[in-house]
Formats: sequence, C-alpha cells, structure tokens
Amino acid sequence: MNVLFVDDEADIRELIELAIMTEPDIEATFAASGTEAMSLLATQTFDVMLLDVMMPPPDGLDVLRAARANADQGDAIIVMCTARTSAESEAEFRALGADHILHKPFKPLKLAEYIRSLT
Amino acid sequence: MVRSDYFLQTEYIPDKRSRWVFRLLMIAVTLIFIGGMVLLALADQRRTAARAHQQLRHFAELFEQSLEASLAVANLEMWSLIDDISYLPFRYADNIDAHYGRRLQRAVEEIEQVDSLVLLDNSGTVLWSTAASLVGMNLGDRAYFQTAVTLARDAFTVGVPITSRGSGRRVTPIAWPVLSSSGELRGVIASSLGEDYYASLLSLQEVAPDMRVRIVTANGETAFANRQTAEGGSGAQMMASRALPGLGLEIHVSRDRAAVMRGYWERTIAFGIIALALFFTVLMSAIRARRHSVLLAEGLKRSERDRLQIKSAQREFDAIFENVGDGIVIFDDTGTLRRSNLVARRFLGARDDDTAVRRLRDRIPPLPVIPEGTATFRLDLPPGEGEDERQAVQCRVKKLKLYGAEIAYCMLEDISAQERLAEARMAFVTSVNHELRTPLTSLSGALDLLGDRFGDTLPQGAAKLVSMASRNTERLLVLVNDILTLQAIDQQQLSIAREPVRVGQALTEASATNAGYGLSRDVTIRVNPLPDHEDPVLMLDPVRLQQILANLISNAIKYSPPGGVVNLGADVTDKAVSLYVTDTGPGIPQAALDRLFDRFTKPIHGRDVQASGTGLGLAITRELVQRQGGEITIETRAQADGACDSGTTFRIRFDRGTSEAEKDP
Repeated sequence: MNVLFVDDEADIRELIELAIMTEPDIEATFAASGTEAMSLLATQTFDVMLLDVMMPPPDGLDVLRAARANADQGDAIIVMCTARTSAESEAEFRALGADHILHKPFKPLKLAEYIRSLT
Repeated sequence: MVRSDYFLQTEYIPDKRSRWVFRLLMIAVTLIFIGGMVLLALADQRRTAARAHQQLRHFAELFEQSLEASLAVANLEMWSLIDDISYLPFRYADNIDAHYGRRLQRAVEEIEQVDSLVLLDNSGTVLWSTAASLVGMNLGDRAYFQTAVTLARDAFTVGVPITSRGSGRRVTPIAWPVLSSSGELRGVIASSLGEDYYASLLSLQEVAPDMRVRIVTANGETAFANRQTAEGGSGAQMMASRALPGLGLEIHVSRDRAAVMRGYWERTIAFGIIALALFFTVLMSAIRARRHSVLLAEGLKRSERDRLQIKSAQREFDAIFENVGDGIVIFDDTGTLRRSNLVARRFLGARDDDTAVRRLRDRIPPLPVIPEGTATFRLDLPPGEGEDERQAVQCRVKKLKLYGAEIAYCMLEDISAQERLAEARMAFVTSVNHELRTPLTSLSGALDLLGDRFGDTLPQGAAKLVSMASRNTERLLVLVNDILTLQAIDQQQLSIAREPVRVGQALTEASATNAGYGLSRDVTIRVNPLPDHEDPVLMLDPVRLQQILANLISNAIKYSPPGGVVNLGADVTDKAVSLYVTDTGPGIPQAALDRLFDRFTKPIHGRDVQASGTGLGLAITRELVQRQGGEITIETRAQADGACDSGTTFRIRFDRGTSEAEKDP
C-alpha cells in the first residue's frame, strides 16, 4: 500500500517514519512541502494520502485540489490532518474531495492501524 | 423621563379683579331688578287706584243720571197730576176727596217714584193724604212747604230727610207747588222718596259688594245709604261724589281701599314671585356660566401650558432620540409610524425616515415572521459616506404591542469593530492552537515511540521520567483540546449532529471507554440497569454525549477512594430522562457549588484532595449539555461540610418531548 505523507514539520515526518517503518504492508513516501507533494503526484500514484492542511503555500488544500484534478490519483483515499475542529472547515474539506479528517494531535503508533481501517 | 416641574404644584387661581367685577355686576343687576320691580309695582298701584276711582266716578255719574231721569219722569207725571187738580182753587171744592181722591190715588199707584201723597193748601193745611191721619194738620212750617210755594212751574224741591213717624223709616220729602195754568198758586203737593226707591234705583246699576252708596242732601243729611255707615267704616276709603245741583242732592260712592287694592296686591305678589323666580334662575345661570367660563378659561390656559410643556419635552426627547449613540428605527406594519434617528439614517444611507425604514425592512424578515421578544439580525450594509469598508451592523428587533398595534423597535449597532476583534482573536487562538499542537504531536509521538520501542531497555529511573513526561504531555493535550472546544462554543461554531441515541447503549459505551482509567485508579464503574428494562431513545449528538459522560466519569474516578465504585445509570419518567454519575468521593463543599462550572476556577478542595485537571472540564460539560437542550444538576454531601457518607451525583436531564426520537413501531 502506497501512502503519501505531506507535512512541513520534519519532526512529525520522522516520528511517522519511525512508527510505521516496522509495518511491512505500508510503503511510505514523504513530502516536506506542497510543491514537493505536487511533483510526486505527477510521477507516482498513491492508495492513501495524509495531507497536513496548514503549510506555507501551496498548502494541504492546494495539494488536495491538485490530487483530485489528477485522473491518475482517482482512487486515492485522501485524509486531511488538521488542528481545526470546526464543523465549517470539515465541511469545506469534504466539499473539496477529502474522504476523512484526522484531528491533530494524533498518535503515530496508532497510525498504521488507522490507515489499514481506511482501505 | 418626565420631569416633575412639568406639572403644576398649585391650583389655578382665577383673576381676583375679574371676580370682583363680576360680583359688583351681579349686585348692580339685582338692585336694578328690585328697583324696577318696585317702580313697576308703584305705577301699577297708582294706575289701579286711578282706574278704581274712575270706576267709582263713572258709577256715581250713571247713578246720578238714572236718579235724575227717574225724578224727571216723576216730575212730568206729577205736573200732569197738578194740571188735573189745579183748575179751581181748593176752597171751591168742598170735598177734595170726592173731587180729586180717585185721581190722586191713581197717581200714587201709577207713579213708581211716589208711594204716598199729601195735598196742602196755601196755608199749609193738609187737604188730602194717603195717610188719613194727616188730614187737617197744618204742615206750613215744613221747609219743603216753604220752598215749594216759591217754585215756578215744572220745578220741585227735595227736603231734608226725616224719619217717618208712621213707619220709622227714613224718607226724603219731595214737594211740588200746585200752580194753575195761569200761574196762580193753589197749594203744595208733597210726597217722599223712601229708601226702597233709592234701593230699587240702585239695583238697576251694577254694584260691587263692597261699594257704599250714599245720597246726601245739601245740609249734609244722609237721605239714603245702601249699607250701615258703621259697617266697613274702618280703613282708608276711596270716594267719588256727584252732585245733582238742581235738587241739592249729592251722590257719594265709596269703596274700601283695601278691597279695591286686594286684586292689585294679589297680582303684584304673584307677578313678583314669578319675576323673582325668573330673575334668580337667570342670575344662577349667569353665575354658573361665569364659573364654567372661568373653568374653561383655566382649562384653556392649562392646556396651552401643557401643550408648550409637551412640545418642549418632545423637543428634548427628539434631541436625545436623534443623537443617541445607537441607531434606532421604529416602524409598524400599517405604515403610520416611521421614525429613525441620525445614526440609523447614516447606517442606512438614508436622508429621511421613509427611506431609512424601507431600506431596513428590505434587509430583515417581514414583521409578522419576526419572533416575539428580541430577534437579532446581522446586516451587511454598503459603506457609509466617505468610507470604503462595508458596515457590519447588528440589528436587534423588539416587537412591542402599543395601543393594540404591533410596533418594531430596532436598535442598530455597529459591530464591524467587534467582528474584526473577534476575527483577530479567533485567528490568534487558531494560530496558537496550531503552533501548540504541532510540537505536542511530535512530543507525545516521540514519547510513545520511546516507551513502545525502547521501554524494556531503559534504566528504571529513565522509564519513570519518560512515563512522567508522557502523562504531562497527555494533560497538556487535553488542555489544548478543551480550550479549542470552548472556543468553538464561544464562536457558536460547535456543531451538534443529532441522531437517535439509545440511553442504555450510551451508558455501556461510556463505561467501557473509561474502564481502563478506572482500572488504573482501582475504581470500578457499575452501570445500573434501566428501570422496567426500558431503553429510551433521545435525539442527541452521540459524540458530544460521550464527551459529557467521559468528563463526569473521569471526574468521579479521580475523586473516588481506591476500591470505590462509580455508579452510572438513568432515571426515566414520562417527561424526561435523567442520566446520573455517582461517586463516593469527598463531595463538593456547599461554598464552592456556585463556582463549580466556572472556567479555570480556583481549586475547590484542599491541596490533599484536589486532583489535577484543566479547570475547564465542567465548564465544557455544562455547555455541551445546555447546547443539546439539557440541564445539569448536582447533589452532593461533602466531608468538608461534615458528612460521613460523602459523595457526589451529577444529573443530566433531557426532556423527552423535545429530545426524544420517534420510536420505531
């Protein structure tokens, strides 16, 4: 299972890597910015994407739009990771094509289980 | 606010001068009236008296004429008799009775005025008489005889009244000379006028009952009186007299003045009473009219003053209304009331009330649709004059019933600044939140991984420190989450997604979720079965309900003594479902109850009892309960208040009517 993690926080990326590197069925790819994520979208396809919303532009929503605009990524399950909990922002994300919302802070150790529950 | 000096402290006092003028006028009118009445009465009295006198004179004249005529007739007849008996001197007739007896007798019978006759010769000796006893007597010394012998033809004389010896009645002698056709005196023929004669003559006239008629001879003797002099002699008399110059008689007619004037007095009194009554009615009317006019004048004055006061109060009100800081628009549905003030017109970019009301009504729902009480609307208005930002205005509409009509009272308040401030605050909290969470996520993740991957290999002291760090990270996370939830609540952005929730199931789930925490504190969670095995279904947000129960259960566990039991259950009635969480902890002191739900409240318990927490849990719990239409209450017995079986029960009550789901058949 190809999973794309996009987060501008290096610590978070590293923690996730540490947490899921022991999971044999998850092949993780990391992007440190929106730009990097978009270039990855052009070359690879992913089963699941976890996109951090709050990043310097292009942010998670731009990546979400780009992924939904890309026909190759049509089957991807997109999860938005955010600290925002308001109903309005959730509705906005879903309107743009997000499948799930993962509230921060999340537990890196529970992440593998969460990803498996999505597919 | 009506100032007290708008009202009169003293009663209105009518003008003193005008009152005196009016009184004097009234007195003058009364005097003039009384004077006029007296004058009228006097004139009437004089006229009445004159008329009565005139009547008396007229009567006397009539009576005199009638007497004269009667005597003239008698005179004629007597002279006819005299002619019959004067051919020869009486001395040639040896027997008078034989010669003239029948003729004389016939004269007595035929001449009404004469009821007796005496014939005397030149020397006064009675030759013949209706009273035989008189024959032969000499009556030559009688005044009437002596007068009669001097008279010419067609004349007669009336003598002094005498009282008749025969009948005792008063009679007036009347005598004619017996003259032959050649003028030779033969003798005298005499008769008398009795009172009966006068009375019968008088009876031909209309005599008033109180009228007294007297016939007086030249020397003042009364020949006839229709009433006794003594009778009615008292009191003033009114008299008229008429003389019969040829006979030396005078007719006196008199009446009692009082009797004459009786009619006058009766009339005058009646007239006076009526006039007085009329006058006083008019007078009273005048006084009343005057009083009314005074009151009216007073009322007019007062109303004029009131009008001025109202006008000034109105102006004052207008000034306040116009310049008050908030915008105010008042209108009704019929279009009769349209008012706005300066600020409101500026907000709405209107120059007059009509435009302001129209523009406002275009932006809020129609009046009948607006709920009772106070409704709030947010208006997004175009920029004001000389500004470029749109105006955010809060419009609070209050519907009032005034004189039976519905009136909308709208307060417009500029909330642009408030909104900008709120936005800034929200942005700040969101940003702080994000900035806090990102490192927290890393921190808690790192500690979790450390414990998970390397827990076994860590020295004992290090493992303890990692556990401590991990626990406090958790606490920090809960705090950040709580702050975020409260912010969502404050921003009215807390979403409540209602769906049917089975109460029994919710309780079991809450128990299961928190069992782990209970285990770690050696506290058991017991779910009491629902009464009658009923499992009510309520329309609630299941996630928020679990949040509420988790907060209450974790509090209960926190304060339960080791080995304690937290009871969980629900009371069900027809109207409501009441969920409860009971612990056997130290209880909450009464003194602290009223600040229990405050945010970041200061510790309720002493240092030895107080458990760690964010100080937000109950505040959030209450908000979540209230947001779903519920109500949270506490029953507690605190050790601090001296209770032995201390403990606390939190109850969350939801009405079944509003929050209950329709049951499936």
